[in-house]
Amino acid sequence: MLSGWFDFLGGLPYRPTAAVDSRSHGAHLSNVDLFGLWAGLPATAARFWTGR
Amino acid sequence: MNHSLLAGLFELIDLAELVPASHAAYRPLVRDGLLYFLEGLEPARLDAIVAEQLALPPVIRSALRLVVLFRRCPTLHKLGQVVAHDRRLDPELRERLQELESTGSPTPIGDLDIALRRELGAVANLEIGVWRESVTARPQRGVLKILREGIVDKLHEELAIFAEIGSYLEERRLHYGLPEFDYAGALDSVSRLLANEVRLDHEQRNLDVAGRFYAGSPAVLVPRLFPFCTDSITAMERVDGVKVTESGLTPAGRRRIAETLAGALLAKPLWSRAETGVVFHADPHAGNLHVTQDGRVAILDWALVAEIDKRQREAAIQIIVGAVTLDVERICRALEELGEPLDPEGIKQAVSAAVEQVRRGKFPGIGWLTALLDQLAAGRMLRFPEAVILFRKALLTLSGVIADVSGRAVDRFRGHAVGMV
Repeated sequence: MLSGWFDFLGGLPYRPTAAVDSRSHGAHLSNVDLFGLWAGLPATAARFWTGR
Repeated sequence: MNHSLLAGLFELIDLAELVPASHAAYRPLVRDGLLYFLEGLEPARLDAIVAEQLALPPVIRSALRLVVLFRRCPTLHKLGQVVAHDRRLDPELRERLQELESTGSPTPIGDLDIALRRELGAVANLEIGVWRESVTARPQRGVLKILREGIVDKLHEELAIFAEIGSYLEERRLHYGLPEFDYAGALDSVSRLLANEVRLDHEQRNLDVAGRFYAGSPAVLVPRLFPFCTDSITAMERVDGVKVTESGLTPAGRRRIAETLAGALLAKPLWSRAETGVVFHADPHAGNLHVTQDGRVAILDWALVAEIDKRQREAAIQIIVGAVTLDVERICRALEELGEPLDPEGIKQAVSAAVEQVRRGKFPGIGWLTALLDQLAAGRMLRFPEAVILFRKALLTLSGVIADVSGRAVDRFRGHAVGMV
């Protein structure tokens, strides 16, 4: 997992110029995935508290 | 062969040593499966196996009996290597099974000489024993990998039994009231993969791919192929080293080796961004992992590899992301990328239960992921491709080896793999 984190960090400089749905720039996560994680934070928190 | 004589032989073998307590309910099924397997062998082969067992002292430990039996059957030999470092097994059995990581009794060189001269002489007009690289003119020390005589026939005979044993196990499973499992499908996959064990041309291709994949990893050594390989002989660089579990290094040195193993055999292929040419070594038992004199880890025997494509690696990460965000739907979608769903409702329930574990504090790492995959496979909810099954088998072996190298248990990615394998 730690090496995945370093892989993710190593891919950061290339993200601004990468296609938004490309998963070729670190940890197999696209910019869309990252945006989805950020945008989904309230839903994640709700699932955590409600257990649903 | 008399069935009762064979059954009597199994009375001498305590399967409690082979099947851990956590799977005790499966002991009768394993016994039945082994009996069915042995009865399917050629009578002459079976007679030899039974005679060898009867010649052992009656009070001998079951662990030794099992290892003697496993040495006679290539498929069981492989099984023994896979579980040889599983800490849930009896310590003496583990120690005995680790003997299977060595090649055993050597074949007399005279028997090999004729085959070598025929094969290599035809390819390169070589003088056996001397080969000089044309550019450097330095003598090169090499290894020739040759299949033992009769091994291909034995393997194919056993694989033919594997093709039938699945339906028999299914029948016995019902008899013992054990949970549903796709024995036929799993054994079919394993059979096809084991058939690759005797395809040296496949191994040569794998060595070539692995050599390029690890070219940028200075701590890892993949033997270099020599140019005079044939379909029945693999000629490669000789590696001088000792098994990673017998390195004699300090605790710090062993931890470094364990980290190199996990990094090279798991993290590097998992996180690789390459579309192709990414290989997982699918048979990482300690006999295939050596520490060289200069401290590198040599990875040997590339007969079995799992080629997990980028889409599958992305799916695995999406499952982890789904766990972190407690998103059941996301995990279910990713699982559809990883395998063929057979029971969507069952998958959803299993995923919901796994996500609930995360919500209650379980770390959603490799251990959590493999436990979920094992549950889906064991419950016949999802059919995984061979590469994923092989990868899971490799994780089981690797976790045991790393635990033995570092001196720490690595339960976090061991899961319940015995059931799936």
